[in-house]
Amino acid sequence: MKIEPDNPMRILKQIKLAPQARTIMRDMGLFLHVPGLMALISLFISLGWGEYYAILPFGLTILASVSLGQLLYRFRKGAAPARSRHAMITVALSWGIIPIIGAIPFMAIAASLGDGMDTSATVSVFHQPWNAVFESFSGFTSTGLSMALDPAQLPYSLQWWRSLTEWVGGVGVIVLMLSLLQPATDAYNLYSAEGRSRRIALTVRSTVRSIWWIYLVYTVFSITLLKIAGMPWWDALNHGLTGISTGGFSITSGSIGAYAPAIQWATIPIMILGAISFPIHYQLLRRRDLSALWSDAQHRALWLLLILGGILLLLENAVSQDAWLWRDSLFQWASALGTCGFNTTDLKAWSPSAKLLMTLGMFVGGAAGSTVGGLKLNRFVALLQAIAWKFQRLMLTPHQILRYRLGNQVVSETEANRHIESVAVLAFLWLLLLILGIFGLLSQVSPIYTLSDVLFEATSALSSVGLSTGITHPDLTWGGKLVLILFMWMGRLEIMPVLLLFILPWRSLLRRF
Amino acid sequence: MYIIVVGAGLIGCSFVGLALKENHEVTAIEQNEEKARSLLQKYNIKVLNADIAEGDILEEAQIERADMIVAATSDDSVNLMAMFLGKEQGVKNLITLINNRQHQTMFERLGVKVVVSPEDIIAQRLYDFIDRA
Repeated sequence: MKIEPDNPMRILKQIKLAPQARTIMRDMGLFLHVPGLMALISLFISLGWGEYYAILPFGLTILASVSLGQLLYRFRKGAAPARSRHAMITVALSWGIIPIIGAIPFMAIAASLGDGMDTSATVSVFHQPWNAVFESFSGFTSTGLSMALDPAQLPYSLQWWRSLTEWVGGVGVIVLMLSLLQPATDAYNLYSAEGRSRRIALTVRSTVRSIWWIYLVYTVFSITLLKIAGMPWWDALNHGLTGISTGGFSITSGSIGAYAPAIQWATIPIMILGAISFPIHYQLLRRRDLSALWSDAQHRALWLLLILGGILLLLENAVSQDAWLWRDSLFQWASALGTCGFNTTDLKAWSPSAKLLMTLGMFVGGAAGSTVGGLKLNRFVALLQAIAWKFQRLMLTPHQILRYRLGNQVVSETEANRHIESVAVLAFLWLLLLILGIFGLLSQVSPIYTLSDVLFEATSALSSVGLSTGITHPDLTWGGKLVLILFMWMGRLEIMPVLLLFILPWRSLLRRF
Repeated sequence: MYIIVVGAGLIGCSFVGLALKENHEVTAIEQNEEKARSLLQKYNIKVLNADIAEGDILEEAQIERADMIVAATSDDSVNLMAMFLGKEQGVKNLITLINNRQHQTMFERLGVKVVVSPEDIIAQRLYDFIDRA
């Protein structure tokens, strides 16, 4: 192969790549345009607020995003149709690289504001690349753990950028998975069977469009509701975006706790809306059918857990703090179970039992097919169902056969077993990873944090919640930040795609020897 | 009423559906596992996947409290066995499908209500139309 150094484009064309690799690069190339588009929108926000120093940082972001995207998209020739395995790798890689591009505004704005006397400590923190990357990962995974000491001190451009990353990141995973997976693949069936991206309309394209419409309608609704409850427009806009995406970034130091009780109450239904799956929203909006909210097992579980956990947390707080914290208990429980991560109070003061209860809520998460993180309720319900089957099988007479009911349909024994197996494996992986992460995080945090704090923080990152006991702080070691970043990344994509990404190169390496 | 249905073919299945609509309790016995499972997918009833000839399968179906046994398999000897065991246990209503008309008297001697082979029933209905014409 003769390489002509004066024509780099030709070298690019001469690189031999497997069609699958080309597919992955083409799709990634497309997705990498997204942060550029987001930065373009953000430019207008900066101009609107007169923050002209933010123009260059957002311009840089557009440049990085579009050039990298275009470069990868050049490999589209000879690309094969995406298979589920490649789709998973594409998603894992995209979700790893997009947040790095998304970190540019944090670093560049911090750099252009300099280290002068009037630059607040909150902004200076983002001189450190680790902090900027952490914040961006937290945004694009719609987690909400933050390195910002006091978000109120951030420039408007950065407040907006954080909210926007969460808003796009929240719905992005579902849209990405749906648009990449061919309807015929096994993984697609898996996803649709498990409800994570259950199809709403007939084609993928119209499903994606419906999801965006629903998302937009609810976002406008949330912003309006917060405004009516008494928030100023700018605050309502930002919290509307981060609330419906179950993200949880705030623009105040005290999160939602900085606002009046009426606003805090109004935020609870927004967080719950974010935890309801899109197919159910579709039925609600299109058919005006309220019974949809009660129609499947996972949403029945959602309401049940919301009520049950809220009461338990209220009682626990009543015992440990000797006060009936109605608003705080219900708010924090909805925030934990719906994996939103808004705060009304400082959780450091809460008892270990209260933290553990919230950890359990975060671990389970909301309904599959919504923007939530965590194991998700359909899996939780399936595991409970498996326990019920186990006992029912013990009660059978010698020749009797068991009726397997999954959700609203009766399935064959093989289907039932396969479903339970995949759920059990994922749940086990989830726990395994959590334990590993807790060991890792324990070695990094200061000894003032107890095991329950570390468990809380690790679960919060893995389930993309964003509630914190204070471990997430610029002073955390880089190792600790790395653990949390990895957790946010893996948890948002439900672990498997990222594991596949790690395993695949090893397999092809081993095959060579 | 508590009804035991032996055989979950097309006719057995339809019968279960009709009986459930009238709020009767039904247990089905079906030898073929696939048929047994497909019946279970349709209706939430107790289904035993077993051969009626196996010793105590009717005890497992709680025959002592059954008000009726319906035999609807395509094998008359299986139907006969179900009827015989039912009679032995003192079940009041015994109904069977017979596939071969020649077996009718044998069943009737046992004191069983008989429904003649489905093909014959349909043929008879068709013939009735000619009569009227």
